Amino acid sequence: MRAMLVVVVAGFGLLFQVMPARAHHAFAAEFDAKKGIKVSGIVTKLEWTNPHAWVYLDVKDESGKVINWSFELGSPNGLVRRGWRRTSLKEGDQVTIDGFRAKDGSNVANAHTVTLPDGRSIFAGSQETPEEPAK
Amino acid sequence: MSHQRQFVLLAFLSTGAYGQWLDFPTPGIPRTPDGKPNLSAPAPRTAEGKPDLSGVWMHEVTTVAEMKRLYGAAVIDEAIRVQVPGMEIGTQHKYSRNILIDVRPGESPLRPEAAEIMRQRAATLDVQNPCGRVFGFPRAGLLSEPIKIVQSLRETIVLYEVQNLHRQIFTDGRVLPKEFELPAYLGYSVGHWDGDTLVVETAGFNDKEMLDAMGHPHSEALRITERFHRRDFGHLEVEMTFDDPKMYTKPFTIKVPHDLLADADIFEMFCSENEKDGVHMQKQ
Repeated sequence: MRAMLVVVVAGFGLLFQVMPARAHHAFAAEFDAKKGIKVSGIVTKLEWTNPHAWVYLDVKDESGKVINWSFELGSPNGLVRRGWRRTSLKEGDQVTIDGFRAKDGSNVANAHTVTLPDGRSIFAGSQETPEEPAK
Repeated sequence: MSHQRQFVLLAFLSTGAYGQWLDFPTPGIPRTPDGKPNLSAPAPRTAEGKPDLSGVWMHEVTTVAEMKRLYGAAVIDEAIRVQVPGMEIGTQHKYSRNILIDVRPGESPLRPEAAEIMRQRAATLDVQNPCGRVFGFPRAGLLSEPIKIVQSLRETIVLYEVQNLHRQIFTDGRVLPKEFELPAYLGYSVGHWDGDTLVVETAGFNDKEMLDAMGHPHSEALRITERFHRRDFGHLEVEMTFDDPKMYTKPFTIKVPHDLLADADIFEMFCSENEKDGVHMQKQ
């Protein structure tokens, strides 16, 4: 029995590592919680689609080169319930987005908060981002 | 009620007048003099005198603070960083992650065979196909989206916004068969009234899905008993008992209170519409 318990406990430990936090899908499998980013740019497109809405920004890097970033939102259903509208972000809008970058290094991140130039958060329900762990 | 929960409820309830019946003042809902739904009014009844469970319902959400206490601050902080608006931590139910989270250490009913299935599935999980899974029962009703119950005399339907799933609960006298030719992700359900409580028995599951995000498995032998009790107009108590002797040494029960989302509705949700995460996902 003791050996059996040890096996079960070891199994739990492994599972927490492999499947720690999947809600709809494993956001932690896609985004790196240690790679916080904050970028400002011009909205080029909003995809108001399931399972996730996406907003695309043209962002200038340090050399002035324009790079198109993709930011993931929740489902449009959930966003609408929280007060977002299909017209909340329009092509040409200037916004700043806080998020965490994709683990594969592509120009993709989750949109944790979206802020307009006047400082208003477009998503009133944004939670504070927990401090990043010490690196 | 915690601040967090108040916020989430407010966010759900105060969407303002808009299309797609987001805030349509639904006939039949009792209201206070200022026009707001009276959620503590008596539960409605059918022509036959039974409680009417119909409505759009959202499970009680588990607050961020409670999630941290249960799952650990480091795990939940990471989940918050990588979350997306509309599916935040604090809008799901604690059992969506681990249906046995409230079981005391050393008292887990999980059989070693079940732990082995969890381990094998975790090792072979296709993380790059997030739409390739069915969110089975009860998980589909414990995420960030509401459900809708439509009750009629001989059949009650439960609609899940998640993946557009549905369940049929027959209350026309039929009983569950002993053998199921077509095992199903959500099983087959029959119900009967025990006083003012609708008791639903479900069997005929396939064994392909999991009870929670952590991967607690079930076999085709799983039987679930649900008890639905509409305490008043705005509150539905739901108790679910899971009995699967092949995977668990004894039955276990969870309680999931639901709040009415008055004047609201559920919406279509097809995962295949625009799935773009898979290519970026990696084994953790």
